[in-house]
Amino acid sequence: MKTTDPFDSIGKRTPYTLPENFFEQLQQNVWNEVAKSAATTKATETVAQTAAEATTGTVMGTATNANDEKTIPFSAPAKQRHNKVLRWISIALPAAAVMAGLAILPLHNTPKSQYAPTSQNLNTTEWIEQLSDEELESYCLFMDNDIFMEQ
Amino acid sequence: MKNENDIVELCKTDIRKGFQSLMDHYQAPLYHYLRRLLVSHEDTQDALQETFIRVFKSLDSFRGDSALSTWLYRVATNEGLRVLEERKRQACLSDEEQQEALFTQLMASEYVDYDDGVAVQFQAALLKLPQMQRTVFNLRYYEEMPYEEIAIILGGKADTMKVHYHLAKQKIKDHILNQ
Repeated sequence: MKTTDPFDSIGKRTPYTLPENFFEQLQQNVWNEVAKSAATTKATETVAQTAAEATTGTVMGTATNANDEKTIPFSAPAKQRHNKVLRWISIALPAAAVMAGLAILPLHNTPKSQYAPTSQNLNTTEWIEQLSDEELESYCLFMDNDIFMEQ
Repeated sequence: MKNENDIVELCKTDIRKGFQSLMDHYQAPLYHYLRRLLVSHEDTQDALQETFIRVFKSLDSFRGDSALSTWLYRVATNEGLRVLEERKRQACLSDEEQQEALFTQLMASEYVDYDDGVAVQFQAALLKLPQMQRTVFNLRYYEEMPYEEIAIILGGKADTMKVHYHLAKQKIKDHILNQ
C-alpha cells in the first residue's frame, strides 16, 4: 500500500522542457512586435495630427491641400488611407459638435417635463428609459432627418 | 541580479533597459507558470509573448499599487485563460473535453520529458482539477505566493483561495495514491 506523500517525492519538478534558445527568440519577437506597434501608433498620431490641421484649415477657410506631399509624407496607398481618414474626420468633427450641442441644448431650453432629466446626475440610459414611446419615436425621427448626418 | 524595485526604477529612467531586465528576470517563471496552465509549448509561447507585449504597452501606467510580480502574473493569467478560452471556442469543447484535450497534449508533446514518469503523473493529476483550483494550486505550490496576492491576481478573497488550494491538494493526493 502506498502511503508516501506525493508532494514530498515530486517537489516542484515538472516534466516540461523547452527548445534551446527559446527565450532569446521570444525576446526578439517581443521587441519586433513592440517596434511594429510603436510605428503604427506613430503613424496614426501623425495622420490624426495632420487631419486635425487640415480640418481646422477648412473650417477657418485657409485652404489646406490634403494631397500636398510636402506636408503629408506618405506613400501612395497610405495617402489614400490618409485622405479617407481626413474625409471621415472632416465629417465626424462638425457632426459630433452639432450632436453635442443638440444633446446639451434641450436640457437648458426645453421645459423640464419633456426631454430634460429630472436629476442632474441622471445618465443617458436612465434618461432614455424615462422617455415615452412617442417621445423616443419623434427623437429618433429627428435624428434620422438630421441634415448634418447626411454630409 | 536586479530586484523588483530596481526594475521598476529602471523602467522609469530607461524603458528599453528596464523592460529588457523585466523580461530577463520574469521570462522563465512566467513561462513555467503558463506552461502548467496551457500544457502546449506553442500556446505558452503565444501567451507569454502577448503578456510581455501587453506589459510593455501599459508599463507607464503601472502605478505600483501592487507588487510588479503580482501585476505580471495577473496579466499572464488573463492571457493564459484567454488562450484556453480561445482553444475551447475554436474546437467547440466543453470543460471536460478541454481537460481531456490538455491531458492528450501532455501525453504527446515534443517538449515533455517522459522519462520522469512521476512528474508526468503529477501534472496529469493537476489537469484533472477544475480551472480555478488548478490556477490557485499553481500560484501557491509552485510560485509560493501568499493567498492575499493570489486573491489580487485571480480576483477574490484570500480565504477562498485557501479553500481552493486545500481542495486541489487533497484531490491531487487522492488521484496519485489511487493510481
